[in-house]
Amino acid sequence: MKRQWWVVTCWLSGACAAQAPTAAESPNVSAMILAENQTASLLQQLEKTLEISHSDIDCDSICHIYGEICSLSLQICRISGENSSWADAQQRCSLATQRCESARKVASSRCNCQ
Amino acid sequence: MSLTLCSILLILGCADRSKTSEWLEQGRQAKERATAYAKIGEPFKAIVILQNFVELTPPELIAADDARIVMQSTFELLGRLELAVNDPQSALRMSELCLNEGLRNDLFTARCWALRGMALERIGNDRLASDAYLEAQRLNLLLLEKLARHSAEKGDSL
Repeated sequence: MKRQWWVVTCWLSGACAAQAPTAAESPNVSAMILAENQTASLLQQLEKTLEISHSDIDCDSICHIYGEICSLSLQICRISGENSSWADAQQRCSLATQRCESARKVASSRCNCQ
Repeated sequence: MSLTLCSILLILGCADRSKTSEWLEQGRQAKERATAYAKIGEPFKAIVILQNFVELTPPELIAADDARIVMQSTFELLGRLELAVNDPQSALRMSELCLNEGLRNDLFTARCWALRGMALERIGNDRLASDAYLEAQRLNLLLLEKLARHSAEKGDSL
């Protein structure tokens, strides 16, 4: 089934009423949603933007995902450090760190993340 | 005759849209109210609100992937609240429900994995927690690369 883009925009924005917008209205709805600054919805907007409207991608989104990846890396390495008996603990931490570094390169190629 | 048929189809179509919109609105309100309760230190009330929503059956004709996104988003929030009230077993259950909605290479599934990692870590199963975190990280990286590639193709000066 073709994605009902308006369904998700309704959910994310809370901006649409009982009536779904027409296809012609989609750019306006997207722009309205993208104006929101809440982190969670920002990421969801990003996802929908990539799949649906292919527009308005911004550095906040890129930097936030980069931060998420490196945050997970810290968690993985912390767990590994607390469980040194695991044979593969070091490998997991190393993989996580590599992904964080890879994310840094991707993000910095487009944006000046903090 | 054909006019009657068209009218019936139109009414049925509108009814379905209405049901879909109603369910989405219920979900949006549940999420909004739960977030508000959580902010004022009432996580149990927030949990009840979200539990009531996830018990509702999604409209039949909603696109499956759209329903998945809404449900994963809700289960993830519910799980984080369960962690906040120190109930990692329930949080783990929420992460499983979250993942059972469907595995995709997207942000919503990544969040389910991250929740699973947090719940397992709290329970003390660090090995499985690490697996879940790595999977969340992998999906996030895929998304980031897709995003950067797309913005490069657009030639944006971000």
